Amino acid sequence: MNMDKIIEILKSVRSDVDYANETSLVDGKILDSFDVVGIVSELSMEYGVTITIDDITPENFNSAEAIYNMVNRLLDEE
Amino acid sequence: MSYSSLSFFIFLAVLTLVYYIAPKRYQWCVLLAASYGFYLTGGVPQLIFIICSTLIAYFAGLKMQSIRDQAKAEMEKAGELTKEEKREWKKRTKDKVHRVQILSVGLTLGILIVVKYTNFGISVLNSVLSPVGAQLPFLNILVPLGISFYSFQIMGYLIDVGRGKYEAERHFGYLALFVSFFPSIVQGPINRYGDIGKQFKEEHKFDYTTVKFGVQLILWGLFKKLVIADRASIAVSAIFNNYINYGGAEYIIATLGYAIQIYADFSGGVDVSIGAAQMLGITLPINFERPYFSTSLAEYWRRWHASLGGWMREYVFYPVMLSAPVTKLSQACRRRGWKYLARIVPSTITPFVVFTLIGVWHGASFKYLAFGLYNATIVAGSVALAPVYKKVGELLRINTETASFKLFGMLRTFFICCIGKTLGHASSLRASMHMIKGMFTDVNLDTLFGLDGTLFALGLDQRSMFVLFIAVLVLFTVSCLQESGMKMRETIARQNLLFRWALYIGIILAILIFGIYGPDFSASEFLYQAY
Repeated sequence: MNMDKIIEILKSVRSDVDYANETSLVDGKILDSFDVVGIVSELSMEYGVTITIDDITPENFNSAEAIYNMVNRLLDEE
Repeated sequence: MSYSSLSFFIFLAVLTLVYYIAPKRYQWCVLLAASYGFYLTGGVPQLIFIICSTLIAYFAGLKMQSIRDQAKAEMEKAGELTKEEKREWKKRTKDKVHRVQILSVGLTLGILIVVKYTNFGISVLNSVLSPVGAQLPFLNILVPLGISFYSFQIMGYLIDVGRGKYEAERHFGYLALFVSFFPSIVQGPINRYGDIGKQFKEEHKFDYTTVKFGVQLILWGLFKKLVIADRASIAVSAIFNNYINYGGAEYIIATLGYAIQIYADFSGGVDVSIGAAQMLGITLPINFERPYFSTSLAEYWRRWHASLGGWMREYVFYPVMLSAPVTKLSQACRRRGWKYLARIVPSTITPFVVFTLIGVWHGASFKYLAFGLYNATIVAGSVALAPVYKKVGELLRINTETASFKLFGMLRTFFICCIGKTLGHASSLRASMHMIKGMFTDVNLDTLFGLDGTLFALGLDQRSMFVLFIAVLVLFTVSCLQESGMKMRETIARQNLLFRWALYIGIILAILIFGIYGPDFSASEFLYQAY
């Protein structure tokens, strides 16, 4: 897993967002709830991680880096 | 005690004085006493209801916290654990917490359902039993003031504590204040403990600007409620209550009028709530962000009654989207190579759950169910058809970033909202169908444009209509300025003293002279007070 792949996945859900620089994806209302669920679904399929409702927090989805860290943590836990 | 009554403002003024004079560490006691005092004006039984619900939340929260604390202590005591053992431990703890959570949320929801929906259930049963001549009597059930609002706050708290989002509140007083905080008890916003709980524990010093901003917001809310909503309601009710005597043109006028009335009423009421809380140094969440400027229905629901939408997103939308059946269905589609279906299945199923609940939350009636399903169909449909819209847009070379396209989006969304509001506001589902059909088939243009005098025979004379028109124009202008990013109160604060006071006196006079009052100088109830 690397950051480029994460950004590629994010782009497949919403192509119009500058994931490389944006750090307020949820708090800044750039992503809506449908986008978040789309991202969760793509990440689950790609990496086989189980993202639960407890993981759906703004802190985990505010930037590509935060998403990357969350997936890393979940992979480590599993 | 209504938020627009004189007694409420005397109560608020006295409370503000006592609150800032009282020793800072007892400020929360003053607020709790005021909140229970406010609630007591509705009668002792109402207070018993809210205390019982608070007790459920308090003890369930403590129980969940103790399960979690105990598990943590045991894990630490056990020393080094393997990954497997840690996972097993976590799962066991989660299951225990889950049981308490389900029981307490179930109890809170159960009280709400019994109180609000028993008579609706009886009426459904009666319609089933009517062919055999049997009828069940309706029950005289007390519906405590704001039960939907405080029950949702409690359920949010219990779910968050269960998820470990924050620790359970160990002090009963703080939790009781969170549940009963008087500015938001009647019509929201629906507060989250994580946002508001800590504010009750802080010391609040008197700050002139904060109190002034609070008073300004209350005045603005009263202007919306008394000058716009209550005035518009006269003409709107005349048509909705006697729809059979009118035609399509009047239905269009009534629907547009109702869209203005409900927004001015509800957002005006919430402005009073947020302003009252601000006077006491407490920040409540924003509930309305100019929803009629939305370019899609999904966006509208993020901007209209945002605290309910946020609640639904957090506690219904995500859990349903990530639930095992929905995930399995989506994965099954993906395995078969149906990528498009795999992506849209969760996004199209979930709106039906969310909006059915929002519909039923509004009231116990089939018309609200229809209102929910209507919104769900459009939101789910727009998700499902998004690729089609994109293709059509590309084919027709439509630039969706232009101002004209955004305006088109706003008008389309406003039209969709208006139809939905007719479904929710007409006296029955049959009445709303009749009215919606009439809007498309039986429109007298002279009536619609006010050329035949019908417009002025709906309870509002020409002068009154003119006042309404000007007031709506003021609301629209302020909304446009806010939409462009202007912060109104900060901008006003920067103006000259003379201008500022002319504005304050102007708005107070407008409320006093053009506000609609009943015979005892009290305004009509807020529409959302009934929920």
